[in-house]
Amino acid sequence: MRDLVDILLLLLVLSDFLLLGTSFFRTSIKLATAQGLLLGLLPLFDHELTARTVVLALGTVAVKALAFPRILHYALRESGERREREPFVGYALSLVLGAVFLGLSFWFSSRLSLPADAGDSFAVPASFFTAATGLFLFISRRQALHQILGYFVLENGIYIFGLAVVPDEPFLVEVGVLLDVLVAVFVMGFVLFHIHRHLETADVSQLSQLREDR
Amino acid sequence: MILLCLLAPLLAGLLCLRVRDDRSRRRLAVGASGLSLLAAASQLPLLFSDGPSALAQVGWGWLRLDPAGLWTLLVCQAVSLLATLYATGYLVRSARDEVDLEMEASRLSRTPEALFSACFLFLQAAMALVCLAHHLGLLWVAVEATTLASAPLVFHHRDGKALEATWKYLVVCSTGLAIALLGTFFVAVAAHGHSSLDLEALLRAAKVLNKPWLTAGFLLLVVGYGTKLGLAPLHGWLPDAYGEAPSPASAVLSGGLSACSFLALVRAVELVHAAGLAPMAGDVLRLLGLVSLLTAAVFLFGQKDVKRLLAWSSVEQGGLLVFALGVGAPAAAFLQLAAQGFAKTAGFLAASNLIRSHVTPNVSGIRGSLRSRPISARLWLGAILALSGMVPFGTFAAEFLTAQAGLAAGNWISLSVWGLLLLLIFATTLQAVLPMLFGEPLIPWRHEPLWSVLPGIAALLLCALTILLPPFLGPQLSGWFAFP
Repeated sequence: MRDLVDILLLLLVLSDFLLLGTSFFRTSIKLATAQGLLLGLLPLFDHELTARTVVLALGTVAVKALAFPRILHYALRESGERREREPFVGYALSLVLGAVFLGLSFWFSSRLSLPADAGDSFAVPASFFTAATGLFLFISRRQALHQILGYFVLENGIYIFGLAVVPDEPFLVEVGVLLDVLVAVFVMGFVLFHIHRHLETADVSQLSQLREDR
Repeated sequence: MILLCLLAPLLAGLLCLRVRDDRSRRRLAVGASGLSLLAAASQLPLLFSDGPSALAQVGWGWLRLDPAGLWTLLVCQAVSLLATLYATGYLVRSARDEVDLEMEASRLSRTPEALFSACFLFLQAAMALVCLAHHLGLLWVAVEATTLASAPLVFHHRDGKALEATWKYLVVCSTGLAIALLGTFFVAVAAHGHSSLDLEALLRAAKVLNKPWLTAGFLLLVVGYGTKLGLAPLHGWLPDAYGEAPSPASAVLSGGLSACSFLALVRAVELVHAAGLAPMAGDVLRLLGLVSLLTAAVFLFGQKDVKRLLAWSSVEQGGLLVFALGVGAPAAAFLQLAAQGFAKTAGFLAASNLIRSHVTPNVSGIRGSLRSRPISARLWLGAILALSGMVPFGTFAAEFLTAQAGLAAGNWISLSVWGLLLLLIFATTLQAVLPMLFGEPLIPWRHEPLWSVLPGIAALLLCALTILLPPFLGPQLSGWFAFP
């Protein structure tokens, strides 16, 4: 089981790198969907198989792998653009920085004094790396869709961290977190839809009407 | 009984999406707000009961009511009710104006009004959940829910500016809160093997929690919930969101929602205090408070937009709140919380009247309002004076108590910077506000309808009444506070 979990986590890290390197919206959404699937599978292998874990896994897949891409595709359908051409940080540089983040995540995790039952796992560095990737996507991309994906990946990273080190988190809270993510993506998709209609592009750096004029 | 605070707005909000008739929808909103305020008020004895750790169990396991939660809940509910009353007239006016302007627009505006009322109520329910949550995980869920419920309120006007404000609000606050979630997990690691994330269990086990993890968790929680409170340098979304939201929504965002964010922050501070990390927490909070005051002072200088003026004042108030907590005066912080919440409500409602009558959001477009709109202008002046900490408003007492506690704790340097910045902010604010009141009026005098002024007057009266509270702010609100 341990090996299987590590393979899932490895796939997750891979998807992070692919996300850092892609400019096409459809590919990004597919990758994020794949991450959602991986996240849904993780608790099934990581924890004992109870009704609780199964429900959580189903919920995660429903929210992160089914609802999420649908909402984003819906929001994108009026937009003519298919890819992000000029991010603030280029794709090659993003990949290099990704490698640096990965190294830092491993170094940082090795220095943490974690509870015994999470210490040897690959999950903690993988979660830090995923969160860092999300945060980086969020600040280095211009297009609203990629920023939403950044938020989503950040949330994924934190979710895995919670899964690894806080196994006894109450069911209600996990469901609540999941519900919040669902509504967040829904509301963001709604706003994204309006950004496309209003600006005819989703380059959020063009949202700059509001500032202190003096 | 207290569960009504949660359920009444939630159910009414769901109903609002269904009800087609505008009038009955507005009545429903007012009724639900009033009911939840009554439910909260019925728990008042909790604030005055003896013993430092009064706690009322509410139905479910993690929903509990402690004095701090009740205090915040009362402020939120009162602000929400006043804003809802104002919104009733505001929405009637908006609907009518749009009929006059453009038939198309009035037809389109139907759905947004239902969505506006529903989200207003959802926001109230989420705020009540924040006040009741005694589990750090549930607390996070509730705070995130407030963000999501309020985003459509900011988007109400549906133009480019509203879009930009909503986008910033959503992504900055959501990302900030993601960091708070990480902080929550860090606290869970710190408590591993000792306690769950249940607040009372954590407080009991505080002494044995893993200190480095707890410190890191606390810092992340401060960053996360501080973003929501609008502390500089995490305030980027705030002036835009408050400036672009319809005024009743701005009033609730700044009066009620910021109070909830502050309460979430207080929970984290409570925990590190119990764990004996008070000096570290105090340093962090004082520093953040002063940075917020400084930022507000800079941006208030020569501010041209009326609502942004109030928004920057919110950054200032957030700074004052955490500073009071940082010098070890939680009672002062809670007093400030109530007083500034009411003052900002009065401010936003009065500003809304002035903006609508002058048809401009600019400070320079409003002149001589004391003669053209005497009541709103006086309300506006009163609110600004209250926010500046003048007598006879509760903010004066709160700032006095803060200074007293700061002197007692020997925080000379930070306290003098604090005082200096307050003076600076007072001067710059008055410089912007006074020309709005005096001089030749730009518009003719007209009778001001009751709905537009009564909620503001009530808010300002409440703000004045809070100055009488200090003798009653006994150990109930500050009992948890262990002085370093």
